[in-house]
Amino acid sequence: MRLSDILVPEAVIFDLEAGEKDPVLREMLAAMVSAGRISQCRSADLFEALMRREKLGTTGVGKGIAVPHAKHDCIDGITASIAHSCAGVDFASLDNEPVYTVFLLLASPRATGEHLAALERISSIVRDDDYWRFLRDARSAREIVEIIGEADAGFGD
Amino acid sequence: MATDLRKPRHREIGFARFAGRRKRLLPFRGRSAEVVGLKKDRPSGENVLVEKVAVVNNKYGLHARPAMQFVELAGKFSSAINLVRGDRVVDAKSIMEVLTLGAEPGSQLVIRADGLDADQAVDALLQLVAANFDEE
Repeated sequence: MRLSDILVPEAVIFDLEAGEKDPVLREMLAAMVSAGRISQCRSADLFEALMRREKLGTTGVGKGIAVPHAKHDCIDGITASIAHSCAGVDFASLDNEPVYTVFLLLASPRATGEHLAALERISSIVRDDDYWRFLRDARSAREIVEIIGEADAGFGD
Repeated sequence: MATDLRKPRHREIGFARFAGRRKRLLPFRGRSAEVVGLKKDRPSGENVLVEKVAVVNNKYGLHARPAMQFVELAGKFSSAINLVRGDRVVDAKSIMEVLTLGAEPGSQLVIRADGLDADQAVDALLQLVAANFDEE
């Protein structure tokens, strides 16, 4: 799966204002609302779902990366956004290090295959030290979207 | 040009990383788990290579949470542990690497451990997969 196909470019955040998990997730959901991908009334439900998932175990997988995700009926298929933090976010990560790149995944409960494929693509991108560094050093939302596009081209469909 | 610098180098990196091991493991390739999992009566305190096939049968496959459980359990053993899916070999102690497998329900994975506690490691990990990661 190409991450570009599910990424909402208008919802990509270059520099997160928030520095902690809860407000970061709210900020990312608000960007999804502004981008018209989800409605305001659903963002509260999605926030709850994301936090429920975080309580089962952090999605801060280490290396400065977090992949918060939730399934909800209000989502059609699967959708993603990315947020970059210059200062770093406390995400209670496995390695206790701050998070600089957050990949948000929202999926329909029926889109389980797509969810797995999206995780596969995201982990492939950040496992690659080059892409990982490009994302960390990105200087605009547009650049982040471009890096994902280049990574997708490199990895194929 | 900036785009040239961004050419993915993951394949070379991946190969270099596993090249040494792959060579060493080559004699075991194609043999069944029972053959590779050495005899039970061998002296303890000896490095062994054990590999067994696990089939992912939980509802949603090896997504983030089960992958994390797997990595966490793998990390408790001193043996080097790899997870193999087809021609892809990843470090079973790295969440990022395990997620790159995108193992959906029904997929076959080889759990391969090399070290003093390889037997215990493979058995424990196999059990976790067989128990469907304790998902409902």
